[in-house]
Amino acid sequence: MSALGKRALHLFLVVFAASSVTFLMVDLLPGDAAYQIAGDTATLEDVQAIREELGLNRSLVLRYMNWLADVARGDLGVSYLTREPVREAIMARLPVTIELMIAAQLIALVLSVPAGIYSGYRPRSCIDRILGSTSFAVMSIPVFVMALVLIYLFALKLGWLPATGYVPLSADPVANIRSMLLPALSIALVEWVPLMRVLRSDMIDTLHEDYILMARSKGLPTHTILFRHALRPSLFTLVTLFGIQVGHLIGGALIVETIFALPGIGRLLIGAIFSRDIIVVQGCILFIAVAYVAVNFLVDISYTLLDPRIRRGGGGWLTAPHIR
Amino acid sequence: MTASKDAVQAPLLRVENLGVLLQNEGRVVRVVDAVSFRLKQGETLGIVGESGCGKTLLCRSLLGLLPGCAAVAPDAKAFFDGKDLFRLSESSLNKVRAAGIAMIFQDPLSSLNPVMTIGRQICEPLVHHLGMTARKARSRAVELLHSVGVSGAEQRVDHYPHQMSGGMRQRVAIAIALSCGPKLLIADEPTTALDVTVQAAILDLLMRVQAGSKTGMILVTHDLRVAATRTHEVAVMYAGRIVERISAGALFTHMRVPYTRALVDAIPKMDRPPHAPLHAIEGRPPGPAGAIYGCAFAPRCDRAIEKCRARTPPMRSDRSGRHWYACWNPIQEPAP
Amino acid sequence: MNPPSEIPPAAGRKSFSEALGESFWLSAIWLVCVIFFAVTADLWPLAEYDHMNWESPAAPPGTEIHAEIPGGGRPVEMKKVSLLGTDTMGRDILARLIFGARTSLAIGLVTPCIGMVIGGLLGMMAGFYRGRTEAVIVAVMDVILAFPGLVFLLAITFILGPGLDHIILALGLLTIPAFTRVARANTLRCARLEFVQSARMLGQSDIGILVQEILPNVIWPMIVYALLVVSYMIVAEGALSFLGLGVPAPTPSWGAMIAEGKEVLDKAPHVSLIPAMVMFLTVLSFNIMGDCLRRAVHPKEEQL
Repeated sequence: MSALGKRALHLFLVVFAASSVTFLMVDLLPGDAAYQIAGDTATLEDVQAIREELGLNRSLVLRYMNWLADVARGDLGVSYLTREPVREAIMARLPVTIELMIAAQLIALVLSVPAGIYSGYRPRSCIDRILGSTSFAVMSIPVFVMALVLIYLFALKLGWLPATGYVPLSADPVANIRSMLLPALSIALVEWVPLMRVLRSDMIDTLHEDYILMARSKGLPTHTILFRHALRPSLFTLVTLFGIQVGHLIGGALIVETIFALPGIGRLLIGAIFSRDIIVVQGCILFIAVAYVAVNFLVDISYTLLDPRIRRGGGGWLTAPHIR
Repeated sequence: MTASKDAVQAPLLRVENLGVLLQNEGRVVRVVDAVSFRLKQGETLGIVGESGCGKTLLCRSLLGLLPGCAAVAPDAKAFFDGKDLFRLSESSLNKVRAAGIAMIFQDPLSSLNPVMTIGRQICEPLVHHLGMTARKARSRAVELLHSVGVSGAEQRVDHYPHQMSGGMRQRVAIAIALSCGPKLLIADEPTTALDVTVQAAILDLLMRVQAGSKTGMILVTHDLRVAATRTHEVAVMYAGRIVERISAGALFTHMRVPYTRALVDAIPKMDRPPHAPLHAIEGRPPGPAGAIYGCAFAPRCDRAIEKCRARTPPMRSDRSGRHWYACWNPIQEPAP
Repeated sequence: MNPPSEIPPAAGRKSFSEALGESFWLSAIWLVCVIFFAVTADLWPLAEYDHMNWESPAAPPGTEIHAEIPGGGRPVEMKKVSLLGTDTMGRDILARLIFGARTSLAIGLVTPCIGMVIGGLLGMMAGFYRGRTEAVIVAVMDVILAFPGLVFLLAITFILGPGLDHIILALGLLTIPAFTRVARANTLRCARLEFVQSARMLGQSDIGILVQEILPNVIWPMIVYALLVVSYMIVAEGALSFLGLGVPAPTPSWGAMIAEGKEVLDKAPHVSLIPAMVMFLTVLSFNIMGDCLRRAVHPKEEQL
């Protein structure tokens, strides 16, 4: 457990550093941040007002302390353009993004787990080869291309699903699922491939274990052996990857929300970047980073649930630049 | 042999001409060849031999548990309960497994699933084969654990394998094997991976279990003394073939195949003077690589004659019909 | 009957190029073509990539387009077949694709170099000096990794503003942690080896050891890894351009082309799907080449 504690402390420090970096964004902007926010048509008074509001006149350290205290209380500031508190803005859009990410990852799991189990159970079989080569090709399709292809096929040509728009789950569950299906699928179809690949290779290793032989000698049917005996010990890399993929999912959500016009955090962030609403940008980025680190910490904890033997220290931190 | 006679004293297991083919880098090699034996109810057959002689593959082939690169030769037969094991569908083979033939593996550290409680692992076949309810299976699991000498069985059922010692785990593995009341138990070197101190206890347990329930048993071991004391009949394997089948009591005194004698001679003995050299067998057993002409042991055999290198010796029996050996130049039977 | 066949083909006897497989060479051919056209873009009789022709927007491939060729005195009207059609503003897609390849390749090839130089240096220092140096470097990398890739990119481009050089810088920064990791793992591995130890005994300076003994062992795994990063970078630039935060117009970029076509996906899918296809093939080729090389060279990447 102390390993976990150490990890928690480490992650806390990382979050702290990351938040500081986020804070510094205002000062890293070339030129005067107040001018940037005010825009081209602003008067000198406007700029002065913004300065006052953001406290840009005060020293960096003082501002930082204030900001940190605010953030710790959950106050991420107020959008300069819409006057909406950033926290409210994020919370209002969070359900959409979370639904999108969960739906995407669920679809990815539904695709990758059976495929990975089968490929691992029958490696080098015809289906395994087909899965192997198509998955390699699919992995090379960027999310935004996947989204466009899906829109073209299912929304424009076949007309089965809407191309844009969002219906809240509470308003109409069916319409909600219809509006979420293509966006989630765009992300999932790209993300399921690595999941399948790691599950396949872990499955192959597990199926060579003695306890699988033992399970077979008990006369258990194949599906019991695969799902009950082999699957759980084969999930470690998959779970690690799952955590890493949260990063991809966030990136994917940013893009997909833009394409499908879903009112999620991604669109909030992108919109704020375009209107140079720096407080919103700052708040979104901080929120995403903290959530991301937290999810990866949860993934670390989940190892202990998977395997009673180990308290694996370390675990899956990122290994690749992960933009999709 | 007539059909009626067969029915009267039908052996529990009758293996005929068993061969196992192994595919290795595009070549097919016979790693087990021409193995035939019978096993009666309540009897124990010991299989001894050096590592790599095909003992494990022989056992696994009976349960259809060969690795993907291996296969049973097409002309092999193994009758168990009136059915040829090699011609059963996977689903009927699944019925034979556990309920008919159960297997105990060499390494209890790796043969139990690390992420399942031992209770679940014992209950699984009970629920699946005997149709027990979960609750009934659990109480049966406790009974089974108790019967194999696991203390505190009520608590142990909820433990994971890593919380137990090697000896305890092998007891659990035996409990799993016994769960459905098998007629035949195949124990593949059940004590090799264990501490010397617990080896005897595990073997005692196996003897006790077998005596109590009249199961037949195949006990694979590389320890000749275990084979001689714990079994009824011993089959000595060399390079995939059985070279001698002899009743356990006569193993040390009446062996006729030079290889068996070499194995016997290689056992360190207490009554020897200290520092007397051990009789290691010269050379190494042939790998499964090349085709073998003649007797596989001939290159290492001090009794080898010309014929040994030319033709593989067939199995033949002595006058009693109970002692079988495959040797062109057998050791002479000692005068009675 | 045929004893020779009994001898299995020795794995080592396969030549290097055989081990790579034909998919490797197909990918290589595609990439060579892309690079060739990108480099020689100016020499081809292409339409101007930023010439808007409002008479024929989103024309399908093979349409005859009226083009004004600026002649000596007055513009000469002539007809020209647009091979891949035009985009929503009537610009020639083929020309934009080829000039866009310049953007994509510049980003794809330069960014891993930034990551390789900085990340490699940091990783080697971390692996060689250990201790506090390593702790600081790893901590900094963890902070970068606390941001999901695309979010990190957005933050940097938000701060720096649009522009090809800024995007290259941002993407380069993004790749540093991964290269640091690869370099550190390989440095750790070979710093333990005998020849490094003996170089130390002989009193060689740290820099000497790093450059002469460790660098040659670290550089190859990094180059193989860089090939995999190239495709990531092309996709990342595409994503940025797609979001409208990439290379500013009128410089053509594949991602921006795909995004532009989105509006007319219904009536003229080729505007979007042709550049999408080209991007897919290029990314796939880099992936295949990287994967084949990794398998052929076989550097066991240590997980640390």
